[in-house]
This record gives sequence, structure tokens and C-alpha cells, in this order.
Amino acid sequence: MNSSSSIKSLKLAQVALAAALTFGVVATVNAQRVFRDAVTGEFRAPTAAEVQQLEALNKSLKSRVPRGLLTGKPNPQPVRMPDGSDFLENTDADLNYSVVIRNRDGRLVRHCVPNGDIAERLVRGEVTTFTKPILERLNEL
Amino acid sequence: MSFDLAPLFKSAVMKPVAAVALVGFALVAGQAQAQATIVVNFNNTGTVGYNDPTAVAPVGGNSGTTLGEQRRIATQHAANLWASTLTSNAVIRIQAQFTAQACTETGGTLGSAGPIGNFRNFPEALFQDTWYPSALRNKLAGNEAQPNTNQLSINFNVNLGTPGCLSANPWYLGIDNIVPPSAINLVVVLLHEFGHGLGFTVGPTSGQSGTRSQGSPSIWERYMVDNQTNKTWFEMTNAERAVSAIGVNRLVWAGANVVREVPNVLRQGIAVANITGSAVSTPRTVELGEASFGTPMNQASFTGELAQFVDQPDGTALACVPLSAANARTVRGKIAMVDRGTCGAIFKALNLQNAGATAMLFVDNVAALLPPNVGGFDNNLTLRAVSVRLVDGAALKEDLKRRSRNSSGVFMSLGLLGTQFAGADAQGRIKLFSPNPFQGGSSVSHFDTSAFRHQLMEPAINGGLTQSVLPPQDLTFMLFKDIGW
Repeated sequence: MNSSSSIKSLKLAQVALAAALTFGVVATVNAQRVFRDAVTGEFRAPTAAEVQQLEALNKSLKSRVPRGLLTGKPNPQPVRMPDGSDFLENTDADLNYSVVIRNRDGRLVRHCVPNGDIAERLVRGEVTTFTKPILERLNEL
Repeated sequence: MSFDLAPLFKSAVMKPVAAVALVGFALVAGQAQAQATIVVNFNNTGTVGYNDPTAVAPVGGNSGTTLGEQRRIATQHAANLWASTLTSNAVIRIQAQFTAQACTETGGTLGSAGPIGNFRNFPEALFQDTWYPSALRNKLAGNEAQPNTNQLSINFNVNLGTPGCLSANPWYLGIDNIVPPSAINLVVVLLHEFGHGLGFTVGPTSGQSGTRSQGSPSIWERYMVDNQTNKTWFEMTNAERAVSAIGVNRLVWAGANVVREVPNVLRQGIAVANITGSAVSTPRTVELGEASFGTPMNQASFTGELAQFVDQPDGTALACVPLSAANARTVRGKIAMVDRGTCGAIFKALNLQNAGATAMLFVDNVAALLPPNVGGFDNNLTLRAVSVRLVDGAALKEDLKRRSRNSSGVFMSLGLLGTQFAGADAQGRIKLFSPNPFQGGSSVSHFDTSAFRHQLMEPAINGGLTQSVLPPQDLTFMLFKDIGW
């Protein structure tokens, strides 16, 4: 990609990001996405291969049903215990995730996030309403 | 509501590959004698994870001779630290495994953890219709609600440090807290994740929407206070909780044990700069953000002349590359003003220090209520590093337009002001992490990043943490005492 097309892509990506932030959705508008470049740390438009990878990730995440940590059952419901108490089983969506990112300077930065979806998007460098402030913080602070 | 118990207990039968019983017994601050038994059920099968037979050399007090054994010893060490702190007559059971997690050469999931579930309306509960994490329920009841069943689940990345997964950044499996710069300290990550699993979480209440699970609050809600409305989360509506969660400076922990120990853990005094000089239109005091590197702020003030340089076509100063000779002359012996962006603050600080600056004034590039706190650690950094909000940086740049040929005319005295504790509100209550916009689950279920000294349960795990969860180093166990531990 030459420099002018890079700039054009970046501008398109910025528009996409602004639109995504405005409407509070994942940064996806007309197949334009914003990525964090794995080498430079800059936000940029993704390559075709990255788009394919992300599509696969989105499909995987969408099909992922939260499963109970104890029983493995999907979407567990509260259970009445013999002593009259209620037990609410957590799922993998209730776990805290610790993520490490190597930022632009080569420094490792760790951040604790609430669920596997956000953790995976952080690792892939995808910019969403949730990951953008974290990625900015990891790279600049 | 389902009353189907059979599947629950059928699936709950554990199949541990190995189990180690750990008993803590120690005299610790804030309580008489702590004693709890923690059993870690190492859940890997075959020759992976905790069973990996790869031969390794002992490291940092970890005497294991295989990778799997060293992982078990490090995990056991972290569990021992918690066992020597907590008191419980019920065995705490943890399911632990190393598995593949999302990972690339530039980032990866280290691990995940949480309580297996939550209980409400058990006879020994301090508050009825309130959700308690499983391990805390068992401690309060003095028995295991689900015998021989794990109460915490933890997972760690088995591929870290291998090709394709941060290959230059393996786990550090030593237990001495002396970690090579490129490695990741498993014990500290374990301590943090165990903390979440034992109850350092707002639990089934959504931090983002404020909604409750099955209509009941979590035990945390009684101690989470919005210091603008003086309401606890327990007293709020869903909408009020959602607003409080992004209040930035408003959400604090009001439990008596934490409040009592805040003066013993957090530094007294808020970092400020007094701004004076011939070019200053209005002498004033502004609040500063602090950095986790360089010479820390202390009661003695540090005074210097502010210097402005430019290294970008748009008139900003990024200092992401070494300063030119002319810019180095400008900042030498002075407080150098630099803008946020493009590279990390620690990188800017190194370039400014190498150019001879005595301090870095880091100007935010987004509007915010508070100046940002800056992370990172580098033993080579000795300059002072502080930050100001975008609006305060803009006002300083206006002042600097009136500089003379020989002086910027802007002087700053950096120091501590007042009796407020760093990371706490004026009433001495430590802040919970509540950034705007909401950051997924990082928000609310952590201490705020403005705490100084830094705390184990901040969302970003900082360098220089000890392995203690007790005062005078840490407030995590005091919070646990507040919720019933």
C-alpha cells in the first residue's frame, strides 16, 4: 500500500470509527474497520487477511453460548439448594481476563478486562467502543 | 426458577489430575490468626499445562525440575499467600488449568478467573436477598454448600512465550518477585486473579447498565458509594448505578475496614503545581497526574522553569525520537512540556531525560475531568514526571506566548497539597475505577489507577508490586473483611 492509499484508508477508517462510536456499535461500517497495527501501534484500516480473520472471530464469538463454569450447561439458571438458598452459576462470560499488549515502544502493558470477547478483540487489535480507550491508554500512557 | 439439582451435582464431581492441600497459619495485620485451607485442583490432563514434562532449571526460588512442576509450585505459592491471609473453616477449592488462549506476537490473554457462582439467602448471610461469591458463602456458613466442589475457576495461557504467542515474553515462574524485564510474573497475576475469584468483583450486578441478577444486589453494593449523591449502589436505581459507574471521581469504597487502613497504605497529599512567573496571566494551582516511574512526588516541593519546544509540523511536542540539539538546549535543566500521543509516556520521558530535562510535564490530548496517571517502569528514569489536563496545558501554552528572549516566564513548583490521600476522596475513601466511557468490566471491579502506592487490584497490574495483600502495602484484604471475609 503506497502512502496516499494508506492515508486514504486511514481517513476512511477514521470515518468508520467516528460513525461506530457515534452509534455505539463495534467499529464496522460498510465493511470498514479500524485496527491497531501490530508493528507500529497506529490505528489503521485492516488488510484483507485481517478482515477475514476478524469475520471468523466474529462468527466464533456470536456462536459462543455462555456455559456454566460448574456444569458446562448453556445459560445456567438459578438453582434452589437444600437449605433454601439460591445458587447462581457463573459462566465463562463472568470471568475477568488479564490481557498483555506489547505497545508501540515495545513495552508490555497489562490490563484486566471483564470478558473474553473484549479480551480477544484487544489481543487482535480491533478498535471498538470498549477497546479504543484501553488501546489508547496502553499505547500512550 | 429451576429446582433440578441432579445435573448440577453430577457435573460437579471433580476429576483432578493432582490436588494439593495448602494450609495457611500466620499472624497478619488486622486480624488475630489467619487460617484457611486452599486446595488447588490442577485440571490438566495428559502432558500439557500443569503436567508438562519438559525439563527446566530451577528459577527464583522455584525448585521444580519440569515445566509442569514449576507451574504447580508457583500456583501453590500464590494460593499459600492467600491461605495465610484468609480465615475460613470451609475448604477453598480452586480449579486451575493452563489452556490455549487468544494470542499473537504482539498481545495475548494471560488468563482468566472468577467465582464459580454466587449464593443468596443462605441462613448465615449477613444480608438476605444479597448475592455472595461461592467461597465467601462457604466461609460465612462454615461448610461447603456443594461438597468437594470448586469455588473458583482460573485459566492461564499455556502458549505464552512460544512462537506466535509473545515468543519473547514467557511466564516468569520464580516465586521471589525478581522478574526479568521481558518476562511476565505468574505469581502476581495469580494473586490478582485469585482476588477476583474470592470476591473482588461487583458480582452479578452489571457495572455498565446497573441491572441486578434475579433482582438481588451483590454484597459489594452496600459499600460502593457515589460521593456526589452520598447514595450507596444498594440504594440506587439501575440508571443511577450506570451513571455512577462512569463518574470518574465519584465512586468510592466506604467499608469501615478499608477506610480505617487508607492512611496506612495511601500517601497523604494530592500532587499539584503552583504556577507563577512574569508570563503567567493568572498565578494558579492545578492538580497533577502522577507517573509510576522517575522520582516520586513527596512533601518537598520541586521548582523549575517550564520549557516549550516543538518537534511536529502542527506545533506540538511529542518527543518520540531523541530531541534535536536545539530542542535539547531549550529543555536542559528545565521542566519540559510534552504532548500526549504517538508513543508511550515512558518513551518521551527517556528522550527528555537524555536531553537534560529535570522534569516532564505531560499534557493530555483529550478532554477529561482529571489529569491522566502514567504507567510504566524503568530504573534508568530519575526525572520527575507529572501530567496536566488538556485545558490546563492549553492555558500554559497561552502563558508561554508571552515569554521573553531569556526566559519562558513560567515557573512551576511541584509538590503535595493538603491531607487528602492519593487515590481517595476527601473523606478518605479509596476510589473505584470508574472511567468515562465505561471500560467493560475493568470499570467498577477494581481500585482506581490514581491510588498511590499502587494496589494489586488495579486494572493495570503495575510493576513494583509486592506479594502482599495486606496493609501497609495493600488494601485488598481489608475490602474482603468489609464484605464478610
